[in-house]
Amino acid sequence: MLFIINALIFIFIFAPLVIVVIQSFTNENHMGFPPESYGVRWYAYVMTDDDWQNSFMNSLIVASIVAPLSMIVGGMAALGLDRSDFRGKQAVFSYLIAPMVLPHIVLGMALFRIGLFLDTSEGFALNATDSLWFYVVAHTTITIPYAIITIGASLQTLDRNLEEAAQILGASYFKTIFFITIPLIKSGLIGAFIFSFIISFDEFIVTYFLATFNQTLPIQIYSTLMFQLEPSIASISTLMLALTALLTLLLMSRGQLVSFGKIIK
Amino acid sequence: MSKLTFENVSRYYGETCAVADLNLSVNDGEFLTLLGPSGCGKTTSLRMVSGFVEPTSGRIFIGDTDITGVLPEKRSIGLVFQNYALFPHMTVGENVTFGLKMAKVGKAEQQTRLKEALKLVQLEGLVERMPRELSGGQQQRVALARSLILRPNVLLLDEPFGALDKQLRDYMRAELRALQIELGITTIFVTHDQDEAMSMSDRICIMNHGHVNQIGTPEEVYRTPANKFIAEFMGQSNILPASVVKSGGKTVTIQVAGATLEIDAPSHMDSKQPEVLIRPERISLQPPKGTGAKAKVIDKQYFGSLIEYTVESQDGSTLSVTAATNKSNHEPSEGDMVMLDIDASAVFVLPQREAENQS
Amino acid sequence: MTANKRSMTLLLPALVLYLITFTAPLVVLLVLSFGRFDKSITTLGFHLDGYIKFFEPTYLRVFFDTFFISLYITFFCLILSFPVAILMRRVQPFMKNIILFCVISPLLTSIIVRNSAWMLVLGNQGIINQFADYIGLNDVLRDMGLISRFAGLPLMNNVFGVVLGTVHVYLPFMVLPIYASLSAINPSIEESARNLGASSMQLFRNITWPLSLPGVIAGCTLVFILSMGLYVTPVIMGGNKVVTIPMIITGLVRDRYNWPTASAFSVMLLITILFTVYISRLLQRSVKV
Repeated sequence: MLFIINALIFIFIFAPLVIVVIQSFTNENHMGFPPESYGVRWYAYVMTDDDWQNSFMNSLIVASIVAPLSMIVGGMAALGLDRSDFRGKQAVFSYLIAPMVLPHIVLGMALFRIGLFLDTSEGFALNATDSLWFYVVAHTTITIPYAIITIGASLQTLDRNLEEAAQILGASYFKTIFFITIPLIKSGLIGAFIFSFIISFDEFIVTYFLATFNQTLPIQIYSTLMFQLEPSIASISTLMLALTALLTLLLMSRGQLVSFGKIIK
Repeated sequence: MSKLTFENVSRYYGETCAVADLNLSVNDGEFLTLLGPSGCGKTTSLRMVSGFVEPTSGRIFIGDTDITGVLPEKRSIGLVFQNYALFPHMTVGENVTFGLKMAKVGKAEQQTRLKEALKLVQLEGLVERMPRELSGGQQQRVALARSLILRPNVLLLDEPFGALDKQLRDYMRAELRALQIELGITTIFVTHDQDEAMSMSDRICIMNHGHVNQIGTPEEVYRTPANKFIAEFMGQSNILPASVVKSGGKTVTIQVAGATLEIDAPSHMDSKQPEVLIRPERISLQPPKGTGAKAKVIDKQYFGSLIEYTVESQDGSTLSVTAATNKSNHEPSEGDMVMLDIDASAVFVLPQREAENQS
Repeated sequence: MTANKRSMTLLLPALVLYLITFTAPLVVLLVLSFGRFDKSITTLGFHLDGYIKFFEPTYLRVFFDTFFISLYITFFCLILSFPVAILMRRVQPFMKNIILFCVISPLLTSIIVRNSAWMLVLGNQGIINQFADYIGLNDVLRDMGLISRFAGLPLMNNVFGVVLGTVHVYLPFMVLPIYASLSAINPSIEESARNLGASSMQLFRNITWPLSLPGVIAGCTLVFILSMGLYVTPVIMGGNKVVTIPMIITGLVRDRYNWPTASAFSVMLLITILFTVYISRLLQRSVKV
């Protein structure tokens, strides 16, 4: 009984994704399931079309910068939280993970407002909205909480004696971090990197506020979707699925999904 | 040169006192054990030497240098952790040379000293192994080599035998002590195991509730404990109420467990009803004849080379008695009446007032 | 400098970044929410126009629609999560990891991708309706006048579609905390309850459910909060038939540049969320064993 119910739930989880994958190989002009003929013409299309190419590159560039940035800034914060002891530490922690529960729509519009201010204020004139660097800043804010929690979880499993041993052997504070702490929480760091990459790559709503011409992949899909249900969406979705599935498998092999369970707790 | 001195050292955690006004000197080359139950302040004392905990007040010296407030990495102290804390991502060789690398010692010298250090702990040939591939005893030796290669002034051992099984523990104990004597390195050893303390130490410092209760050689603390706590903590003990029958001169006559004994007058006899300590191995059981103190065997347990009896004396006190399983010894059975033969020279009158102060 | 202070300085980059990208925007939002919007011009001040507008019947209704849709989503997530969490607890570690992967992997795919997948399944030309046409179900329903002449089964462009699409997206956020709670239960408790003759239902009601409450509360809070702020799914799956607060806010900002009203609505949304978190804390405290 339990197995049957679960089987149904997993069909519910995966069926739509499977259908997208099948649909992506249609040779027809329109969506329709099952496709009447198969081929890779829509893959060819999304890979050669300028709009798709540009938005894919934009997403890739942004995510590639966000991931290391979030890993470093979030990692420093996680280390700082783990190692220090001061009044209000719990409050600082809550503050640092708040972007996780703050509706991204609110964050998106607020950041848009700041962007407009930077665009128009004299002395700034930074061209914030619609520019990739501002997407990077926004995405980093969104991903840092995930990085902090992932890295924080691996710091908690780290034996503090190892760091004390290094210190008593003459390693300074920073050398200890460099030679002992970082190598030992490597899987947490990689996990944070991959999480941040995926979240940034898939991010929609915040970028939706900021973007006008400089579109990212999710926004390109969305605007195509709103226009018509074209098979190109299925093809590009399958490509995104493949990428994220690959990264998720990497995460799994690093045992980081378990720490993601802790995030939600 | 590497004498270690605590001078009025205290450590408070908020209102809680972990270590109170510790004054202690560890002589050059001495092996001193900090012994006590968990929470007695021994680990905090050790951590103050290593620099991971700063004293709330007081100072700590190595030789004539005040090391209070000096960062751990600048103290030149060796520390072996209970779980050894070997770096799991480094080979044995990298573990052992880690300190040299931090001190920017040249590659060639690193290799020579690595060889020396591994030879010292008999681990030649394991340079390329990872810590997880080593046995517990080998891991401990790596931890030792890693500390000793830096030629520290003081070596700190934080319950280093806790993770080993009993046979290996006995072996490593002897080996470590031999090495310590060979190197002549000032050593502080922290443990809650009185057997370990007795068998290895030059002196033992017994702590309880943050206070030092007694410092002395293993024999001193065993034979003449400063208070009841130590008497009970150091091995098995019979602590019995006694009454003074006759005093004056060099000897005192006391009555204990139905026996009347003439003992040397202690310097601290300040009560007519003192408590006395008699170790179980200093009582023997004889067949019940004559006028001596009678007792009844109420329990008997075999421990191979030893038999442990529990007997009830005529005045109602319960004593434990151990005897070697020896042909010539009288071996009564449960329920038998026996006569207690107490070695008068082994009766120690517990310092009454001090015992009250400490508890 | 002590190690403690050094460690505290490691917090600085994140805090500085947050000051610019998190605190400042929210403060700006709060200030704007008290502004006034007149003839396409925003003037700052202390006006309650936006907040008053929020309590107009039209918008209040949208708020309650959003609220109840979020409740439905939370409820269905909860129902679907329990069997998965219970199964995860019973199987071997290897299987558990596979299930964990299955549960979490959709979380790491774009919401857009997943919603467009549902369009292929649920739409008028989607596979379910194709199947219904094929077996003649839709013709029967059309004859009975239950569905309109040109439409199929109403599976999306309504609340059902939105709830289904969102449950699909947020299921992992419910499964994981419930599983975390369940795995903290000592198996011997359940075994001894079995031993004392409890049936499956009794076991669930008296042992599993009460002990899993912390996870249930955490999961429900999270899913509810996330649902309240969701924009994409209602737009794609609701097809203009479902209106939620985030859609109103987005419209106000992107189409009309009415910042004061949008900001006031956002603040009200945040207040609702903070209130939910507060209630959740109270509940958590009351179920603490």
